[in-house]
Amino acid sequence: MSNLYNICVVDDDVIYQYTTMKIIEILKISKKQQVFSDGEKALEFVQHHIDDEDELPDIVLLDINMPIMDGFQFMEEYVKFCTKIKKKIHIYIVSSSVDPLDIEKAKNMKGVLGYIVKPIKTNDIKQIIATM
Amino acid sequence: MIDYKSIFIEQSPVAMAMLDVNLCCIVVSKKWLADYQVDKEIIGSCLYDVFPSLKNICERIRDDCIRARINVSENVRFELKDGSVVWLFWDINPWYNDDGTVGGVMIQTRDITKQKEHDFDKKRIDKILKKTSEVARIGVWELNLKSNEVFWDKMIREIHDVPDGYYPIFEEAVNFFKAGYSRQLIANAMQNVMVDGESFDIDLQLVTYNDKEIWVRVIGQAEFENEVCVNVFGVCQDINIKKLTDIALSKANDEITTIMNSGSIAIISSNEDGVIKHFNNGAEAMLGYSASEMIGKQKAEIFHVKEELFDFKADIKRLKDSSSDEALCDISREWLYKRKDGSVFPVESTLTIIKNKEGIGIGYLEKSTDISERKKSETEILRKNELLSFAESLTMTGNWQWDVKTNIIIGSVNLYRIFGLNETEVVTKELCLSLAHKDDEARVRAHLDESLKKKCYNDILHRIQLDDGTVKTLQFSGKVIENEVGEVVEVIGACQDITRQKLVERRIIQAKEELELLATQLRKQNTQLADFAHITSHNLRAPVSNLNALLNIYNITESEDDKFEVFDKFKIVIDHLTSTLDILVDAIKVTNENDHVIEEVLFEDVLTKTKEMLMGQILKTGAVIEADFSAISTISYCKVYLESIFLNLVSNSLKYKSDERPPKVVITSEKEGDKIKIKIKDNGMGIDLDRHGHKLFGLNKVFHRHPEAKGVGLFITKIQVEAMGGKISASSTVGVGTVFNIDFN
Repeated sequence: MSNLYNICVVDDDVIYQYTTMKIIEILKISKKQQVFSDGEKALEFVQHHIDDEDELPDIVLLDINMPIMDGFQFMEEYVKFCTKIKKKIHIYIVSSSVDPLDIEKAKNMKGVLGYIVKPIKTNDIKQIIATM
Repeated sequence: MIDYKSIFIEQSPVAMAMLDVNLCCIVVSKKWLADYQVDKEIIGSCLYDVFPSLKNICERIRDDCIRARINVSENVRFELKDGSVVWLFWDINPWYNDDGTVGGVMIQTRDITKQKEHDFDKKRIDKILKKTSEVARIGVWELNLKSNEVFWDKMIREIHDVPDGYYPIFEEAVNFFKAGYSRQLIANAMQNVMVDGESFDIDLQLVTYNDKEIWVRVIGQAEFENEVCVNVFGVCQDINIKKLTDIALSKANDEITTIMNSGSIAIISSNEDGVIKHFNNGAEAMLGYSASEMIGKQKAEIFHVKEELFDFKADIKRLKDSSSDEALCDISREWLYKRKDGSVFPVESTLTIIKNKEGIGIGYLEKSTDISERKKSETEILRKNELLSFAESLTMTGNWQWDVKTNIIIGSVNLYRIFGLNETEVVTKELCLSLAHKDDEARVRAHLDESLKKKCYNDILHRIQLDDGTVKTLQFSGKVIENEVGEVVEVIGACQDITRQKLVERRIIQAKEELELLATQLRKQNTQLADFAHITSHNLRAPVSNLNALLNIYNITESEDDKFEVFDKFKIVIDHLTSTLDILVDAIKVTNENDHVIEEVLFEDVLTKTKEMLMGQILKTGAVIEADFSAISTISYCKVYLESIFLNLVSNSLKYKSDERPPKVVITSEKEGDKIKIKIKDNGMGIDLDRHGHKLFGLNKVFHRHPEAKGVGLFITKIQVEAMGGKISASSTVGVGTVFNIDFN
């Protein structure tokens, strides 16, 4: 728990954004927190900072249902250039969907490390940190 | 000298008399005396006195004598003293004295009675021969090889049908014989007779002048002179009738022999006592007994079965008793025969009584045929017929034969049953037509007429109505039968009562339609369920999980300010949850509402209301809304839904307008068959359907970073369209515009 991480939340749900940031604050594991309300904005940021280790996130908590570009579409675009990224980004899908189809699809997606069902709990964050 | 003369006359071996002019006998030969049965003392007597009965003749002789005439007569009838008649050759010559005067007559006679009788006989025989020839139709022919002339007598000409005076040359005569066997044979025979003198006697066929084929018997022989054949002659007899009779007789004989020895017909005759007298090959083969062990030893009882003997004897008695009655001369019926090996088989037998010339029965003849095979076939046919009947009754089928000429239809038992007719009824075309259902009658009549015309019976299905009102559906198949000259004589076929099948078919179709409807509904409901599951999973779980997350933070938050902040968030989530639940309740209502109020709605009215409600936005955006409902102006629909659909779609067009131009919305109605369609086209920003198509009609799905995007309008619109059995789809190009198509059902 000594290291601090760049943590990025991609979700259009403002309450979720609020609660997740709160938990991260309470756990005191981040050196930087970022919020994007749709996949396109997050993608643009990553592409823009592809060589910038300081700006690039270590952990991305990615929602599925979002306007403009959803989580799946984000992943499709992301894997196209992920090898060019300087930093290893750990991406987790965080969704309120308990639909097994969604879970299966998310888990099998290249570049996705796990699937977390909302509400996200402190333990979920702790486990992610443990694997870092 | 006189004496010598006298001696010469007296002893002449011929009958001779020398008379003087007074017809007194001077000298007569002994032969004369003997011939005329007179005494020697007639010398000096007058001829008149010797033959007083021959006064006339004497007068003639005297006359001849006076005139010194020579009188030679043949056939002079002369009756002798004993009454017998002789025929004489008579030669009277005058004799002359030295001075040249007639001294008297010399009479010389010859008894030609014998010769005369020969002549008579010959004439008689000739006559008889001629008659016989005529009766026997025998003609005489002759071929003179020197002149190559052929002589035919009258009969031969008659046989050849040629006129009198016809004489053929040799080749012509030969050519009258029938070409082939007969002509060849006569040619060979003629050759042989001419070369070797070998006479012939052959039966040949010839073709007469009138083209009649007849049989003739030709006999020929040759006459040789110095070992050279000069003449061939013979007879030719018309033996046509005889020959034909012969041929017929021979044929009949062959037939009888064949029958008698036939393997299939048993002929057994018995005498008056019933003892078998004749037992032919057929009987041997049929019964397994040999003729030798039956004839003269056994009676018919041995091969008749016991049970039928009484009837058999009764038949014989009937035949015997009716001997005088010509009407009953034989009895035909079926019997059972028993073979030598004991096996029993059926026969058809004709029992005939054998009568003598007086018409008295002297025995009887049994002529029998083994009918096992026929019986078997009959049984088989009977059985098959029964099976057919069963099959017909099971399959509700009947078969029929319509004799077109007599207009009588013969049907199977089941056919009568199907038509509800009594089997004794005479069925005609008219009766069948009268039973046809009145809606089908004209069609049935036309079909029959056409079948007869085209000589082809096509399958037809029609209903019939029985007297009791029952309606049946029948399927007919048939075939038109023509005679050798192509006339329609019969139409045969079968029909099946498919009323039940039709009923079942209808039920199945109905059930299928119901099932399809159910399946559609289920599919719809499934889709809706899936939609709702999705909604629950996302739209309800999301706020609930937010509530949980907030609660967790609330619990671990210590400062009152922070707790207040969290509390505010609770309020937002709860509002969101409430509105989501409200929408879902609405959606479920729309989906489950079964009795929507359907009314005739004018598209124009709905659009007007929509424009009124969106007046503010229209003015603000400067939107142009055009409509063309000329194709179809009204629809039977739930008015509330239609207003909601118009409102949502038009307001979307205004909401997601292009930044570059004022919005323009074009609404058109279309009619495709029974289906009514509405197309709403805008020139807005458009949607990338490749990316967002799957979310287009989802709840709370938004694809624009638009402040007013809530993801409710299209969700409700789709629910409403589908609740009314319709479909909604969209096509769009980003930056150009979007088209929504609604297929109302």
